Amino acid sequence: MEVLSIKNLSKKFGKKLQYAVHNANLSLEKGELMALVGESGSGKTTLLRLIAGFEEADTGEISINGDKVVDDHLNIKPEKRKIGMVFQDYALFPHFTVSENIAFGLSKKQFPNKKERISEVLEMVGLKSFANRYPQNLSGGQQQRVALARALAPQPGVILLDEPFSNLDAVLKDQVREEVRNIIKKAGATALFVTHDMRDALSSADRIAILKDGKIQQVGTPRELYEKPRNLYVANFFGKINAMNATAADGSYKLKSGTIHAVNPPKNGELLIAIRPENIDISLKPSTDSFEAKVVLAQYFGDHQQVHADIGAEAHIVIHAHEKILFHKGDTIYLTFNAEKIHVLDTCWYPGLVS
Amino acid sequence: MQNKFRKLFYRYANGWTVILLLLALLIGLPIYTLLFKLFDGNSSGEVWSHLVDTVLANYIVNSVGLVIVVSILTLLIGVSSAWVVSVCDIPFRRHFEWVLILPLAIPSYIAAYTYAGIFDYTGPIQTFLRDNGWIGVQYIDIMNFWGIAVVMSLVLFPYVYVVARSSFINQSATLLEASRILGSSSTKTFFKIALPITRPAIIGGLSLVLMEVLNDYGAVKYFGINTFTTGIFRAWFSLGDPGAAINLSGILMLFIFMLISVERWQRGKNVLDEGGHTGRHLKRYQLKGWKKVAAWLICFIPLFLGFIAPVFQLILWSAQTIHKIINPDFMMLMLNSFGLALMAAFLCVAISLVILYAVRINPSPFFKLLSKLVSLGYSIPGAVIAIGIMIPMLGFDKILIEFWSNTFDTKIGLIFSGTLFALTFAYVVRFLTVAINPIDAAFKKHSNSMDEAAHSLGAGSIKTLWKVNLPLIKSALVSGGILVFVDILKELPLTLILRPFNFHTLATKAYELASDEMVAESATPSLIIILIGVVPIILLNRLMKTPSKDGSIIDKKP
Repeated sequence: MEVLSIKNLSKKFGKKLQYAVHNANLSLEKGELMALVGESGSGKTTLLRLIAGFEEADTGEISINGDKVVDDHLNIKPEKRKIGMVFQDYALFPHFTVSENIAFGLSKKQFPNKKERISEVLEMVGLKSFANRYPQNLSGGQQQRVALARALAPQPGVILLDEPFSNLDAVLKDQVREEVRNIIKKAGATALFVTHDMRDALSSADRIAILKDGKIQQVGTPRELYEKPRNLYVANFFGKINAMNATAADGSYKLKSGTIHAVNPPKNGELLIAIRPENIDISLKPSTDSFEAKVVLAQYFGDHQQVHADIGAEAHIVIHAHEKILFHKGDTIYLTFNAEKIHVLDTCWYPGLVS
Repeated sequence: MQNKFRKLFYRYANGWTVILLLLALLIGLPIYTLLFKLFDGNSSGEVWSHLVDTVLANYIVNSVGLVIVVSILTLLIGVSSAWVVSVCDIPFRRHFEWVLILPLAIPSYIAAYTYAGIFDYTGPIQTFLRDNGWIGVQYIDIMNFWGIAVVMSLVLFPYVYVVARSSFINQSATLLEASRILGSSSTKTFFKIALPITRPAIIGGLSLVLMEVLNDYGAVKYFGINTFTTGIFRAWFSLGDPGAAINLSGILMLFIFMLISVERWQRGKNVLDEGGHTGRHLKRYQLKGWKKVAAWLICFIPLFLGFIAPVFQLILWSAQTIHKIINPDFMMLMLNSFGLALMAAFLCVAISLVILYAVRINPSPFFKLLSKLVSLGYSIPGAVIAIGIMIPMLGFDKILIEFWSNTFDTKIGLIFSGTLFALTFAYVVRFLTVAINPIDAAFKKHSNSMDEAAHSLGAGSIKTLWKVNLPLIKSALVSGGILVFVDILKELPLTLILRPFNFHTLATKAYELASDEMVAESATPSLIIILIGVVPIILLNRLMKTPSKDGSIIDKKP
């Protein structure tokens, strides 16, 4: 069942009226945990605040649990949207105890027995013995769990988390990511969280949406994004990728210095192909479809070597080599591309990024 | 586009914005009135041209002269004592830190007639000098321009002292230490490093001093110096010419506007980073010998002249006359004074709260501007506000009385003008800023996400205000209220113009007694005003020592 649906949502900001969010489409299924990843200024927080109702969309629609909350004529107030939110600074009420904080969002109508619900939620986040403490007397991780408990308590349609892990130190982070994911899954909640850190997304989310310049670049599972990035921006989010201009013809990719067999033959024409460093084999001897290259830099990392090599003047390639041989600057090597792992990127959005 | 407009309208068309607009309209009333009257052309009558020909130059010379002389004196006293207290180890340093604020508790009109009494022919100084044969029967006269300038400076310098001190303290210790390690003497460190960094803050404090100087009526009137304020009184009461009073107000406002602009420009020009607040205390200069005595005197003399001496004199007078003063009438007077101040203080706090919350939930530049507009009153002299309120009130009354007698064929009295309504309204206009500033600071101390969290948990704006915001800012509400209360209790010019016939407050009574050659009798109400003025200073000192988390630090400075 679709819990959150966003259609063609746009929002402009500032004097120049630049798009903070541009024609965003997103859909969350019940029980799903999605991460919204982007650099600062990519519009991810604005998108979150549009969903929460703290900002107003210029155009587009938002529905929660099938009820429209935003369209051209409608803009339901945040307090009526049935959304839970965990703020970056947690925004716990300092003059309330932990259980009073949680009680704040519970209505008599929905929860005739507030006490029971509070202890249920506290149990879930493992803070039962802290019910009467004030937020200031809790650690950062505990405060976050209180914020999460407070957001989950009224059983909102969807809960939004704004940079939930940014205030935690590195040691705590791994543990908290796991905890937060478990709590949300245990509660059966649907959640959308914003982060600038890909590792946050990979370690906790079911699906990831990548945002740049207000536009959603791609939505998918971590594996989909890694193996089939739509464009260079998404591909680069997961570390190094080699991108080359090529011409597709007769079932293969033609480069100036050679030809690579295409497993799924594309339409003929100019295109951008990409391959991850670990999908290239290095050899000191030429073979049938290998490319001759010259090593410009070789770095030894123990479990692998990172080799930078130039194929003529055409392309600069990075290879993760697991061979026992040590490569040195100036060596002539022969590269074989694993044809199955070659992936065609969409060039229409960021042609400038092609090396 | 039309949709967008409609959405905008729905976004901002809520009860809070309607109230905000109404309040801005109401509180701005005196300003609109003056502006309107200033340009409607009816105000340049015969009296006005007479004033221009005869006394206007005198008003300008005296007002500008006072501004300049008091500026120099308060800067000298305030900055030097602040510097000594901040960086030198002198006996009782920790006490000096806050007792140097005490002169602020003495309104300038009380200081004026107390000093006039001290230096009077029959006063202690002249009597003492004569009895010892050091002077003959010649008369020492301080009742002149220089006398009033010194007296005002003695009670107003704490405005400069407070900001200078906090700025000196907040300056990174490393900055001053770096200067010393590079071989600068303490004097060079002061002039080259500390003072330039502090300048914007000091100018802020100085501008408050000047507002007080231009607002003053009682002190200059008592010393017989003609300024704009006394001129406005004269034009309104003696000459019966509102037009002339309005013109004088207009010139005065222009003058103040210039001062504010200079202050803003000075502050904006030089936004200096005061250096990282390392929180480390500066190693203070250990002074010895005459230097130590001199440093101590720099702090003690202003305190003695600005507070100890006048209060001591008032206590002596009060002891002589208290049996004549304390009677049921006086109790009634106190009740009047306290009741009125309490009511106006409560109104100021409530209105500040509504305005600030309305802006908080509707954060648009327009509403922010409105909230700035309603807090203009503190920079406008009381006499000017009084005129700006009197005129529309008289107008309303005229319309109302005509309407009433036409409709019901009976007569009614004045409803607005000359009643406590007008007076309370004027207090709110003038002192709203005093409440708004600490409350605004408290609001800003907790992040907007707190409100958003409440909304996301289903709370509407009223529940959020009541359950989340109010508990977090309640001590700021109290301190704002106390500040307004104290300010109203000692307020003079507004009250003199707008009070109902035969209605007295402590301030007007004290002033009337002093003006009627009964200075000794005026001592008791004066002392009460001073005593209550000391309360927020002690409170402030407490807060400075134990800063609370919820932003209750009193900060009156705009």
